[in-house]
Amino acid sequence: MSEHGPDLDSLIDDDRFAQVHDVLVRAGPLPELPDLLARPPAVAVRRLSVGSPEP
Amino acid sequence: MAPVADEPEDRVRPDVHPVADPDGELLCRVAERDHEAFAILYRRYVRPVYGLALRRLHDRDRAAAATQRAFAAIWRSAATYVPEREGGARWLFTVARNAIGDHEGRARPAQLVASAEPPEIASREPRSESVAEDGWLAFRVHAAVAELPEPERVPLELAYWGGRSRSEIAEQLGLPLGTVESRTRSALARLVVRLEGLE
Repeated sequence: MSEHGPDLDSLIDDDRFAQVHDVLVRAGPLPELPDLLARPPAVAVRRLSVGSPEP
Repeated sequence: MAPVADEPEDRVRPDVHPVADPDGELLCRVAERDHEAFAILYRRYVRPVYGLALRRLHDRDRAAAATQRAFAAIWRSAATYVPEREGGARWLFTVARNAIGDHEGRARPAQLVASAEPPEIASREPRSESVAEDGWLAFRVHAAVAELPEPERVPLELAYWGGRSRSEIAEQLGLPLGTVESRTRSALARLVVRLEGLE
C-alpha cells in the first residue's frame, strides 16, 4: 500500500471512481463483527395485559 | 487443460430497485412488527452500526452492547419513522447514533428491554454537526460496502483497509491478479451507484 492509499492507482481511472476512492479512505475500516452480534437482539411485541380492550 | 479465462466481471449493471427506498420500506414493515424485515435490516446495517459505536466508545465489548441497544431502539421506534420526511438510512443512522450516545457513560451492559421502553424518536438536532456528518459518511460507505457481493467486497476491503497490494490479495485469495482487479473495479462501480450524492 502506498502512503497515499491502497495499491489501486491504475484502477482509479474515472472521476466517479476517484470520488468513491476518497470516501472509502475517509470512512476508514469496516470492523469485523464479534460473535455477540451474529444474530439480531431478541425483540418482542408488547403484549396487552389480560382484560385490556383492543385498541 | 487450458487455463480458465477471467470473467469480465467489471461489466456492472446498476441495481434496479423496485422500491425507491428499500430501507424505508423495511422500516415500515418493522413498524408492523415484521421480524423478517427486522432481520434483513439487521444484516444490512449491523456492521455500520457497530462501526459507529466503535468509533464513539473505543471498546469492542461496549460497542457490541451499544449496537444491540441501537437495534432494540430501531425496533421500538420504527413506528415513528415518516417516509416523507427522510430516507430510511438517515433515520436508522440517527436512531443508532442517539442510542449509542445514550450508552456512553453506562457502566453496565445493556439490558434488552425492547418491548418495555418507550419509543425513541429520532432527534432532529445532531449533537455535533461535524462529528455527525463524519459519522454519516462512514455509516453510508460502510453500509454500501457491507452490501457488496462477497467476491467483490473481500478484495476491496483487503485493498483499502487490510493494507494489501493487489498481488498480495491475489495470493491470499488464490485468484489470478486480473480477477482481483476486475472484481475491485466492479465493486467500485457498484459503489458509484450506491453512494451517488454522498459528499
